[in-house]
Amino acid sequence: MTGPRIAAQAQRTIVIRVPLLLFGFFTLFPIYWLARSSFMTEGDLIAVPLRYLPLPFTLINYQEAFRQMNMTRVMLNSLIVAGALAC
Amino acid sequence: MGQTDATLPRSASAVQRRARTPDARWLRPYLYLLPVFACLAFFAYNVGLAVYESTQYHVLAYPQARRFVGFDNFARILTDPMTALSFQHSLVWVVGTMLPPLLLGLSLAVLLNQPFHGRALYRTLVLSPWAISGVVSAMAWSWILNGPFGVLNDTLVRLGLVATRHPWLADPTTAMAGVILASIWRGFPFFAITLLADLQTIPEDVYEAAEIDGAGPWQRFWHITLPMLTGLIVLTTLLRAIWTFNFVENTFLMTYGGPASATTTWAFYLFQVFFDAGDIGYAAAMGIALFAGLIGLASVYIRLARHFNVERIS
Repeated sequence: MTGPRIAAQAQRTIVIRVPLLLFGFFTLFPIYWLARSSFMTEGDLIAVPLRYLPLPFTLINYQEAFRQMNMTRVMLNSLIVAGALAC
Repeated sequence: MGQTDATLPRSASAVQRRARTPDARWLRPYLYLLPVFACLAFFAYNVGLAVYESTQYHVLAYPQARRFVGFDNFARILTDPMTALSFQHSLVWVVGTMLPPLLLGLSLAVLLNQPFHGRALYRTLVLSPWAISGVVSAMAWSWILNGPFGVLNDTLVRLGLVATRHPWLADPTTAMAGVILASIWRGFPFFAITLLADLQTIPEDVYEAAEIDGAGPWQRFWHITLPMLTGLIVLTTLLRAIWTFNFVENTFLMTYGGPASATTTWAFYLFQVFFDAGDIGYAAAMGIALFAGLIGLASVYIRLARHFNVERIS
C-alpha cells in the first residue's frame, strides 16, 4: 500500500506544489524587488554586481518622499477620488 | 421657480387634485427616472462634443485655421500610415494581454481550488498584483527589465543563459513583449479571482460521480470544469478585451509608444494625436471610430451574456 501512496504523494507535489511555487515567485518577486529598491540609495541601486538584498539598508527614500510631498493632502485626494468613484 | 409654480395646481382643493391625478400619473415614472436622464444627458454631451469636433479642422497650434471639414478627419484615418501599424500593435497587445493571463488565471484558479496548507494566506499573496497601483507596477517592471541595471538581465547572465545584457524596453523587437509582461503580471489575478469564484459554484457531487465512473483528473477537468466555466471565460475575456483595447497606462509609463512606435497601439496613438499633436478634430474622429468598434464588441458581449444566462438557468 505504501508504494502507490508515496507515488501519489510525489505526483501531488509535482502537480500542485511546483506550480504554486512558480506562481508565488512570479507574483511576489516584483513586489520584493520594489521594496528592496526602496531601501537603497540611488548609487547602491546601480552598483555592479547587482545586490539582491537591500544592503546597506537606508530609509532615506521614505524621508525624502515625505519631505517632498504633502502626504496628508495626497492621501486625502486619493480618498476623495476613491469615495467619488464608489458612490 | 416661476416655471414649476405654473405646472403645479394653483389651488389645493380636493376636487381639482382628483381631476388632475389621471393626467399626472403617466408623468410619475419619468420623474423617478430623472436622475438617469441627467446621467444620460451628461454622457450624451460628451459624445455629442466628440461628434462635433470630429467634423472640425481643430489643431491647438493653429486656432485661426479652425473650420468645418465634414468627413475629412475620418478619411484621414484611412490614409494615415500609422492607422494600420497601430491597429496591428493593438491586436498584438490585446491578444498578448488577454490569452496568457486567461491561461495563467485558469490554472491558478484550479490550483487554489485544491486543498493545501496555508491556502488562505497563499490566495491573498498571489492575488496581490491586482491590488497594486498601475503606476507602481509599470515602474517596477521598467526597472526589472532595464538593460544595464535590470534584475532580469542580471539573473540571466548569472545563470549563463545569455552572454550580453539585453535592453528589453529599448529594443523595438522586444519592447512590446516587455510592456505585455507587466500587464500580464497585473492582469492574471483578475482572471484567477473571477474563475475561482465560478469554480466554487460547481457542486462537489458532480466530481464524485465522475470519479466513481472512473474519470481521471484530466477527464474531470475537460468534461466538467471547462464546460462549466466556458460562459464566464467568454464573458470575462470579452469584457477585458474592451478594457484592454483602451488601456494606455503601461505604454505611457514604460515606453511612451516607442522605440520607433513599436509599442504604439491605436488607443495610444489617439492619446498622442490629442495631447502631443493637439489635433483635436482628428483625435475626435479616431475616438468615434474606436467607440463604434467597441460598441460592436460590447453588443456581442451582451448577446453572449444573455445566451449563457439562459443556458445556466434551464
